[in-house]
Amino acid sequence: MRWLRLQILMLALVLAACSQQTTPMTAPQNGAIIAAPDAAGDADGAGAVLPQTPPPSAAATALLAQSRAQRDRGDLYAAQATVERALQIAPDDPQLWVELGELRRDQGDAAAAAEMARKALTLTSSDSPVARRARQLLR
Amino acid sequence: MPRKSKRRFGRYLFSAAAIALFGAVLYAFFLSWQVTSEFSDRSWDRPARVYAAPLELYAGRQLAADDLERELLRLGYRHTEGPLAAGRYRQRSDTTEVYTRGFSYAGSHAPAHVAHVQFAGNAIAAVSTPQGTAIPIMQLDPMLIGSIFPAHGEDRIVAAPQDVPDLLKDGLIAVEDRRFKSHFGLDLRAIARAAMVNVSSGEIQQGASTLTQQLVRSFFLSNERTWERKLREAFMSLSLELRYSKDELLQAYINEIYLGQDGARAIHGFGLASRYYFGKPLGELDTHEIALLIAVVRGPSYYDPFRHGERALARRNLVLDLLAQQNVISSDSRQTAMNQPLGIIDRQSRESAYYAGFLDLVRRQLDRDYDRADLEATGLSIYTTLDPTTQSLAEWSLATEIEQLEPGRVPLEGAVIISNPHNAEVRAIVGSRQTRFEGFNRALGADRPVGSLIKPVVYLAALESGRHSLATLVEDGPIDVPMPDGSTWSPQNFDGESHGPVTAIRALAQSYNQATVRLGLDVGLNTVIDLLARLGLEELPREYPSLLLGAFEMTPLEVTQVYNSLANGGFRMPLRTVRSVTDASGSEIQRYPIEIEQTADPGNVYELNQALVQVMRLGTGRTAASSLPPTLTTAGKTGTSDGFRDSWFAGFSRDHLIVTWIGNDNNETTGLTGGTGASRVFAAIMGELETRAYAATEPDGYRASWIDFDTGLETDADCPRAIQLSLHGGDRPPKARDCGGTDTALGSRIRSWFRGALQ
Repeated sequence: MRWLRLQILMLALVLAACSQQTTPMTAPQNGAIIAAPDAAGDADGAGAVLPQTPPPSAAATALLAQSRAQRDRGDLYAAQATVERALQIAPDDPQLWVELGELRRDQGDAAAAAEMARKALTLTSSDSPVARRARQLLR
Repeated sequence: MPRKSKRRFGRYLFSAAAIALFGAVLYAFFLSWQVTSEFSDRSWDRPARVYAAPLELYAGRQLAADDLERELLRLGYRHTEGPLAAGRYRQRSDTTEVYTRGFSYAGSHAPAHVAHVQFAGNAIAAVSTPQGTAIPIMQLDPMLIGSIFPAHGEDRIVAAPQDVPDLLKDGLIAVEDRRFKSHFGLDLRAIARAAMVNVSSGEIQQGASTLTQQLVRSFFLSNERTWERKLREAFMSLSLELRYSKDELLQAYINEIYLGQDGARAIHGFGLASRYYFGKPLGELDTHEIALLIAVVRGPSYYDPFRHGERALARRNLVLDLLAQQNVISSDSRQTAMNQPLGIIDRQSRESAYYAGFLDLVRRQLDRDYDRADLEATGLSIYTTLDPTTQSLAEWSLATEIEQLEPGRVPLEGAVIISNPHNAEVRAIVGSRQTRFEGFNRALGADRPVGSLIKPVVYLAALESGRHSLATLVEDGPIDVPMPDGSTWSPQNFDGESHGPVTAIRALAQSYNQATVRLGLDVGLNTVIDLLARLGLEELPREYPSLLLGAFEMTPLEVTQVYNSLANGGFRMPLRTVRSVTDASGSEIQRYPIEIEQTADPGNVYELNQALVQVMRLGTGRTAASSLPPTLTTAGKTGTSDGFRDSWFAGFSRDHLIVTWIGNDNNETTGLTGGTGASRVFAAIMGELETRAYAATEPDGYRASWIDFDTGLETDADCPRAIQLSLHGGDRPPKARDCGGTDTALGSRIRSWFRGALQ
């Protein structure tokens, strides 16, 4: 009886070794997770992975361009208001937070600029270009 | 002697007459000065106007055609099949064509224009001009949600002369004062006719007031019917006519006159009356609507269209007849207008549109920076963060859920606050299930024990201590805490049982009291209090161990502030209701920018929020979560105070934080827990919002793996109690031998099977 069990166990181990490369990859990719799916549901894990940088919608991009134009004209307050409007649409776009931080820095508020940068850094991986811009604000 | 005295008497008489005349002239000058100064200071008190956030339209937004239409109707836009004009829209298959109104917003002006909004399913596919040029993003005019009017209750919108339709001016003259253009302030013919009636009846019954007289009467707010007042009024009218043109007088009349009563608020001027009765600007009124306003002038209470619809309709039609008789309108347009209903906005929607709860907080925040007098009189515009759609959803959900919960219980009340965690803008506030009546605002004023809502703060303090992670074990067993007064506090769990060593994540998800108290005492009460302060609570609890289970009061607003810092990843932001303030000329005088401060480590908050997600999956929030779409991940926490007096829920998605409270005004027991009461309101709202699943970027140094919910050991994805958890590198738990501590029948059979094989 014990021998039979050992045989079955050996067979199972061999089978497990063979199926190694088909083991589902469950660890999240991109270093970003949505909340973890529990054991009971969400087996497909759909939507469990958050893209590194949310694709900025055309609207937010347009507002960012508008803000830059205002910034170039020297109208920093208007530029700031425009970025804040963009943040209503894309609140977790790290680029917008960095932009806001740079505007605050240009207005002489280094402390506020640093806080915006810290917020941006929580929304992107540390080696992204936008993270590098954010770190500039922390200096 | 008699001659002498007669002469002296004559001299006295003469002096007395001279003095009387002098007095009369002086009085006349005074009256004239009084009325003309009243008129020339015709900068009426202009109460600050408060606006909601404008609806933003852009491709990719999750907004269905129905949603847009509802929003347009709320703004008083009108559906048309014919040509478009400002304030109208029409539908062409999958496209809504909107002719927007020109408007000012926070210091900049947007001209009226036509936009084609094309839909695909429940989202906007494209926004473009009629020529097909893409519009990346546009706003609709912001909805007027209220005003900050003085204590005497006089509210008005001052209309500029170019905004007043000719029909209104001509109509007022035709109906109220036919000889306005030719008389000198008094209409002698009308007075003579009225005098006949009055003399024959012995009292003043019939008036013959010109528009000028009505204006004077309105300035001085007196309605006594005495000859003295009549004379004074007549004299003042003459003074005004001498100084000012007919156009100026008519314009003043249009902005001054009283046209209705809305609770404590007196509706003055046609500009406000148009908004109040029809929900749209004066310039967009049709013939039948103008006729109704003219009808109301005669008796705003007697002809109140909301309360006496038939009476108002009859008088409106009489006005239309008069207008046609005097050729102000053609008989064709008279006929068309006659066939129209009153056209006033739905009383229900008007009443629920008080936004009293939200305006409370706006006032509170403005009072810090502005004098009351400036708010009430100088014509400021206040641009707020309120989202009308979210607000009405919250109102409706609270009322509906309470209605379902109430049978068999004490009378229930409730409150809701919704914010956007990333910019701390308050999107909606409901201070009562009865949103129609201004009353006690529970969202701001109900100071109630928070119960387990406090627990996430205890666990965050534990994570910050570095001695615990979500996967470490904590003993959920009987605990005796010595109190300062010598007594002993022995907290129990909700189910009366102790659960032994449990993971921190399970203890929080299932809201175990004994484990939480043990953890809180380990990190220290003042550490927890300090963290509460960092998260934004200003009035801090005293240092009693029972604070670890939420035996202290917070208002829903305070809870929102604290949870906003959690939902925002450890960044504290003062909750905001006001974005911008402009002066009467439309230039921005103050902006309230985003202010943010990192006050808790984002990594620890990221870890904590995973536990709040498990609350919704395996913990006390799972019933609420089960009514949400499975893809809509949320994080949250229930709270129940001692004796089931308060039912709380605080939860968030990526875009919205919702705090709900249900309780009884007399603090009686409701029999509801956070999970059976307030969480239902949360789910009802969350399920209908345009919102995204909760998600957060994994911080540096964190790695996800499968952890056994009960033992905290690393395990495999297909184990029954496995949850995915991202922990800091140093906190990685050891690997379980098999599926960890599962004690299911199958599990133990497998274990014994293995034991059998390997013995």
